Amino acid sequence: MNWRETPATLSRARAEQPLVFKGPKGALHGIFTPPAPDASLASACVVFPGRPRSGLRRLPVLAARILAAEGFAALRFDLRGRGESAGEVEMPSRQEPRGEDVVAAIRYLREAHGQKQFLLAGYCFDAVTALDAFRDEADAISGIFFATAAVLEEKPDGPPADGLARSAASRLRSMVRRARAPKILDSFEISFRALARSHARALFLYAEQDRLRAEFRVAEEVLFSKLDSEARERLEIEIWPGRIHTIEGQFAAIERAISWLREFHPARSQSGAWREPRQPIAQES
Amino acid sequence: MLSRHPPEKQKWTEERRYFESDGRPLYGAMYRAERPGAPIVLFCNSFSENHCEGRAEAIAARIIAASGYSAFLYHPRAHGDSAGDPEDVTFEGLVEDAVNAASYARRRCGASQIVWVGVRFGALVAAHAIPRITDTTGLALWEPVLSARDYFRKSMRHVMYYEMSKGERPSLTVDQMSERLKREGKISVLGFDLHRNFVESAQDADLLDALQPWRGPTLIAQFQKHSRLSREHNQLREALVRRGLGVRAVLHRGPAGADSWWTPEGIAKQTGDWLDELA
Repeated sequence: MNWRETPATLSRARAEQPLVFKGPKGALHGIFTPPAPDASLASACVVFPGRPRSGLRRLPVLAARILAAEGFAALRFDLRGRGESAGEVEMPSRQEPRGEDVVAAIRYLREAHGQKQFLLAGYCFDAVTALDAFRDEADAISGIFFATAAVLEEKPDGPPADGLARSAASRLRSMVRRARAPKILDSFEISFRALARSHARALFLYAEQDRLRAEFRVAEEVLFSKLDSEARERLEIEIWPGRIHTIEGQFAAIERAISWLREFHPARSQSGAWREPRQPIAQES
Repeated sequence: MLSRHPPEKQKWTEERRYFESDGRPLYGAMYRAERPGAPIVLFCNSFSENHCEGRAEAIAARIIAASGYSAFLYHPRAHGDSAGDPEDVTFEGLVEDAVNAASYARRRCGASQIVWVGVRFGALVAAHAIPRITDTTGLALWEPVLSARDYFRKSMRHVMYYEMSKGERPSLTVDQMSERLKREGKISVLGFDLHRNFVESAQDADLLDALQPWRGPTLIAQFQKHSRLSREHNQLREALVRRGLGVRAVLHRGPAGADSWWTPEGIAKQTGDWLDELA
């Protein structure tokens, strides 16, 4: 994919509006990118929660401008404690996604910008945070792109060859952990069930050689296997070879997010191109 | 003349908008304080590493504004929320953005004097921008990069350390990375890319050289866990003192176990105290 700036994306950059809205723990800062006035309008606004909003290599910035040039409104914003947003800096915790921040963004966009339907996109912790918004705003969300995030309460034991010598105590802890059945995060399960009950589409993207793939396999066994056929049709899974939970892997993941989100554009669905072809294999970095 | 004993906290307002530099919109955030005659504090954090978060400057700008000094931070071309392509960035372009940011910030807040805060690579950029704009009255250097050439090599070395930390053999040596950069025009270095255009345009940038004409008060802030000034920072301090400059050096270690860039409150307050003393 060509990520270089074009006249169309530069035009969207010129139209961007910095904004601030109230979050549960203080002010949240973001950038709203209005859709190109000469493009056929999409009905949903894309939301990228971020840590920070510009992300690595500015991929959310570029994605927002590319999609806006094609008719989508887009918001990228700093989750609490990151970038310009208020709140204490904390390490992201798999137990505590920040769905309330995404809900605040949705409600702000609804009230201040007249947006009615939303598409969410997240990578890693930002993906579980986006999914977490389904608890409160499922009816307003048309789709979620969910890339390579943790879904279990604890990391499953990884392959031993992780380069670090492991102590006997560490090995013992791993053995005890292995003896317990892996438990899906409550936050993930509750949000996932809300997603399943909704009418939203979803794409869950993982890669075979990432450790998180093992976690997601549990979700497939425990949650996806119990979906009815209608929900199973809506909630897609793509498992790529190689790895995407890497610094370099983000390019391919965000590229896939863009191609998947494009499917929600009315012009795209009317032309019969409802399903995008799968992206090339992500290279292992 | 400024009061040496300002009120504990002053009111300020925040304003975010895009401004033009070399035909493209750049993102800027103004923290406008009302202290009469005060200089504006301009954060210059100009290159990929450290730029992606920008949180240290955002927190520091609020603290400094609460001390009565307007502060401005911006994203240079191809960084953060600004427009531009990384492939096209040159060192001269970053300096041009810094100069345009300074002019814009002064216009917006009505201040005539500027105190620059050069953050990491931004220290090199600020040092090159100062001679091109009037009325700089102070320069704070936050963990400054002293030499662009060394900075690029260290960035490449970090890739090797990262691979080794994962138990892997480094895929390329620094020399091999340099060769690949020349040959292919780009290499990836942990979360950002080095482009040949930029490296070739910046590699001769040297902080002490650029500060030859500088004679104003200078603050060196070290963001490291060490309890004393590093050898490099000490050499910088001594060189500037030999030129007759008034130099203050402060250590910002941050809380134990935490990255000092995540907790800039202490250094922001010390920078504010230093600004009070300049008055």
